[in-house]
Formats: sequence, C-alpha cells, structure tokens
Amino acid sequence: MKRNIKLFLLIIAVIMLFSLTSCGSEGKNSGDKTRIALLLSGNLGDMSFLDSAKKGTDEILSKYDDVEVRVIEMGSDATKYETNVLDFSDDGYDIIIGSGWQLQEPFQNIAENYPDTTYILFDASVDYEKSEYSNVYSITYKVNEASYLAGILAAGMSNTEVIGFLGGADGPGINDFLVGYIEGAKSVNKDIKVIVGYIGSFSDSPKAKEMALAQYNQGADIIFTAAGSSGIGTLEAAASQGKYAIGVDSDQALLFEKSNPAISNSIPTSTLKKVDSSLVRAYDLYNEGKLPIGKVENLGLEEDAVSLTDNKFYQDIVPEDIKEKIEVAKQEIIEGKIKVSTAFGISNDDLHSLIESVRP
Amino acid sequence: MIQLFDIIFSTGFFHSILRVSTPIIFAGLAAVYSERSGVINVSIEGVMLTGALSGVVISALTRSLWISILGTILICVLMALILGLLTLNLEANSIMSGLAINILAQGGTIFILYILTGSKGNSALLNSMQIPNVELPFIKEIPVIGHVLSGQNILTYVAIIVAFVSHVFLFRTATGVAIRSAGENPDALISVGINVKKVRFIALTISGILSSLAGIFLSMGYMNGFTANMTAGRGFIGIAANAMGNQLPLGTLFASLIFGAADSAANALQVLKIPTQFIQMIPYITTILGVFIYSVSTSKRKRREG
Repeated sequence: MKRNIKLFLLIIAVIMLFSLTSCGSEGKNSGDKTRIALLLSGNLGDMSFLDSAKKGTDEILSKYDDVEVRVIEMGSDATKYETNVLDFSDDGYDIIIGSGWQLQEPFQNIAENYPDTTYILFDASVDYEKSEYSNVYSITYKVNEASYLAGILAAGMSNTEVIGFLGGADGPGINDFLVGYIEGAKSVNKDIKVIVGYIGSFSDSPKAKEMALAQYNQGADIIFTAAGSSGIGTLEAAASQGKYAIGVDSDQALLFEKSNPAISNSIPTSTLKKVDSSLVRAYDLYNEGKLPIGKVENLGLEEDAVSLTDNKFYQDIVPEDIKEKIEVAKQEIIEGKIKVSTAFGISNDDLHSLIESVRP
Repeated sequence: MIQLFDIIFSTGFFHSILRVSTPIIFAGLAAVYSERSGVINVSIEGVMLTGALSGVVISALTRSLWISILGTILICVLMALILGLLTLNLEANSIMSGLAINILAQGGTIFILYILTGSKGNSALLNSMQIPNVELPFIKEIPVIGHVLSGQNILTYVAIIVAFVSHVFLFRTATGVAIRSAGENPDALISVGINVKKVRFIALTISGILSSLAGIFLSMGYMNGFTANMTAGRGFIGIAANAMGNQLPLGTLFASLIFGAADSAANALQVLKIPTQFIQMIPYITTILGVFIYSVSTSKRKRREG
C-alpha cells in the first residue's frame, strides 16, 4: 500500500515536471517578430464568430511577414480562460486577442500587471470606468446598424405589412439587433407591425421552428432570426411555408446552397459581424502606432465591421428599389445623417415602448 | 383577450400540439419501460441526441430512409445496453452511468459532426433525408378534427400507436408482466425461474428503440437536419411525463400531450403583451405543477392504504 502511494506521487511529480517544461518551451522569442495570441472562448468550427476571428489573424499573417500567431481553442471550460491569458502574458506576447464577454474578467484581472502587452478584446469591452486599462483595446460591433438595413429589407419585401423577429434570449446583446430592425422597418413603412419572440435557447432549433411557424401563421411573411444555432429552425420554417427569413452571424444562404437549396432561396440576406476585418484593421492601426489602446471602439458600417451579405440570393430575391433604399440608408448611416438607436444605452421602458409601438 | 382565444382555438394550434408532443411521448414511453423493469434511465436525453445525429449522418451517406432508421435504432440500442452493462452487470450507480452517457453524447455528437462536416453547430452541409408527413384518407374529411389529426409526421402516429400497444403489451402479455415484476418484485420472478437481468435487458432494449425514434423525429421529422444539443431537455421532460403519468403508457401519453400543449401555447402566445420571461416559464411551471399534483395524489393514496 505504502509503495503504491509512493509510486503514485512519483507519477504525479513526473507529470507536473513535463507540464512545466511544456509551458516554458512554448513560443520562445523568435527574433523580432510581433507575437500574437488569439484566445478563443470556444472551439473553431462554429461557422461564424470564432472562425471569423481565425480568418482575421490568417489575413494578418499573410499581410505582414514579421508576425507570428498562435491560436488557442480554449473550449467551453471557463476555468481555463484566466490561466491561458496569464500564460501568454507571462510568455511576453506582444498582442493577446480575446473573444467575447467570457474574456472580459480575465483581461481585467491580468492586463494591468503586464503593461508591455497589448490586449485586444472583441465583441465586448472591459469596464473602463472601473480602472484605466491603458493597455486594453476593446472592439464592439454596431449590429444595430446592420439590423437597420435588415429592417428596411424586411418591411420593403413584406406584403402583409407584418414582419417577425426571433431572438435567442431577451438581453441587450440580442435586443440591439431588434432595436435597429424595428427602426429600419419603420423608416420604410410607418404602419409596419413586428411580432417579437424569444426562443430562450441558442441550440433548440425545433423550438425555433415551432415559434417561427406560429409567427408565419399570425401573418408575418419575413422573420429576422438572431439566435445562433436555433436560428436554423427559423430558416427551415421559412422554406416550408414559402416565406422568407433573414439569417445572422454567417452567410446562411451559402451554408445551405448545396445541401438544401430550398432553404437558401428563402434567405434574402444575413447580417454579419465582420470580426475578421475588424481585427485586421486593429493590427493595421497597431502597426502604424495609431491604435487607440486604452479605449473601446464601437465599429459599424463605416469601418466595414458589420454588413448585410450580398450574394446571388440577395441579388435574385431582393427587388431593385429595395436594394437602392438599403444602399442609400447605408450611406446616410456612414455620413451620420441617420442615427440608429442601440439597446445598450436605452432603458427597459424605452425598449418596451418601442416594441409596443409596432405590436400587431 | 379576443386575440388569445383566436390563437388557442385555431386548428393550427391543436395541430402543433401533436407535433410538439411527439418526442416527449417517445421519451416518456422509453422511461416507462426502463422504470417499470426497475432501472432508472436518465440517459434517454443522450441516446435521443445520438439518435438525432446518426439518423442525419446515415441518411446523408446511404440515401436510404430504411437503412438510416435501422442503423440509428441499432446504435441507440447499443447505448442502452451499455447502460445495462454498467448498472446490471457491473452494478454501477444507474443515475451516474446515465449522466455519463448524456455527457458523452453531448460531446461525442459535436465531435463526430465536426469530423464529418467541419462545423460544430449544425449539419447544414449534409444533404440528409426527411421522414414524410401523411394525410389520413378518411379522417382528413372530418371538419376541424381532420385538420388537427391529418397531415402529421408518420412518427407522430407511430408514437400514439406505440402508447396503446405498450398498454396491451405491459398488462396483457407474459413478457410485459415479467417486465413489471422485475421492477415491483424481482424475488417473485426469481422464484418462478425467470432471469431478472435478462428481463431488464429486454426492457432497456425497448427503451433504446423508443429513444432513438424520439431522436430521429427531431432531426428527420420536425427538422431536416441536426443542430448541436437540439434535444434541449426533451428527454428529461419525457421522464417527468412518465412520473406524472404514473408509469402507465396511456397516462404518459396524456401527460406528454399536456406538456406539448403548454409548449405550443408558449410558442403561440409570443404575440400577446405578456412578458417573454413569463411565457418561457409556462412549460416548466406545467411540469412542476404536474409532478406536484401527482405526488400529492399518490401520497394520499398511500396514506389511505397504510
């Protein structure tokens, strides 16, 4: 028995030794290259957000010779996030990029101890009121602007003057889509009605399909779905009813092009957060020494950080006059003539009165 | 208020109840068989999820509905038998083993999906097949009821038929009686020379088949494709339906329809001016209420008997 315990301890010691050495050997300083670590709060293969971030760093790699990138898929175990940030900070990486709100806490806890490292947080922001965070640059996306354009498209194409919205959850992140969508729809048709529903899940696609069918039954003929994987259910419902749905996060029409063209033909467009181009932009600015580190930047149509997908389905399905309206609105938003509201600044009451104003 | 009645008393609403209830009926019946035989089976959720993915993958690869259904049933039965192996032969805790299978299924399905399609979210890139909806020849003509009953997915009818067949099977056949005795009084079975373990394996096999049908319905009937974690707790709601239905096949059918109705109502009521948080609570409140009513009635009965 005693010997067993000794053996066990020995094994543990050896394992720990190995893990230590592997930590130390990771990313030894290789010349004067700028070393970037991309820490993903999930796994690649999500066909949207995280894949887009990887695409961004790939682009940086091909654009600049003196760059070295490590991509770490940290999975869904949140306890690993802070350790990973700490490891790469300790290793003296020049830039550490983190994805989403999951990395906000770790950055806030660690960044200030490593002033020589630049931290980039996308799709979330550290709390600059809490502390200075002079080496953290945060990027947020004006999805409300892309949704405004989606609203113009939906209201323009609707014959019933009723359109739908299906969100994954009732929170500011999703409602930011909704606010822009309603405002855009109202800009085309003052009397437009919007049925608003929340699935309460980002993975329950059957439930999304059922709720979408309910909205179509109640008169909606085009639904904007901002609900991650659940949204697939909305797209299927649209195809089965011969109605339309607007996708989110990735070009969802192209996704189904080969396997199920009926679904693709029901998706005039999808709204995108272009994480890739926002990261390339950030590195370009960093390289020129112009990156506003220590601040949050809210990027929108002007910086090409959000958009509507323009593919052959968009070209085929959307009538010319609506395309024109979208183009005009896009220019006016970029020039600042149209100010789209956001769910992040407004009170709950204002949000509800906005939803009330278009309730069927 | 008028709007509310318009929504509730529409044939579309009742049509959707049957559709929404189908996976819960299958999962509930799966729970009936395993619990009747004395094995607590919480792995239904995971087996359903695996079934949902296998159906999509096999149908995309073979382009044959029959092969995909049979293959999926085989895989799910295998999983149910693994639970049997763990709990019956190795005497592991059945809840722990069931949860282990659920976690394995949750990660495993995403892993396999990723290897095959490069996506971790859904099977949009796979051209999978769908089990068709059917119009019932004579029933279709009946006003109102015809519209509700006809035009459902084949598996919806299968689920309802299986519930009635299970009632006869469990209470009128020797194997059914053996399954019930294995749960209620295994010693009695031993005394007449029947192998309890074997009976429980038979029950788990049936449970696996029913779970696989629940999964197939989700990804090949309800939807035409797989999305990660698409079962979303329906397996557990099935287990609750079994508890509320007093472990009776027809009781479980009835309880599943109640859950389905609550869920459909929540889906349809999104237009009304009710806070979404409240609407999303409806299915779960119904579940809690149902189980509460059930336990009150059983404890009363026990007191009377005691």
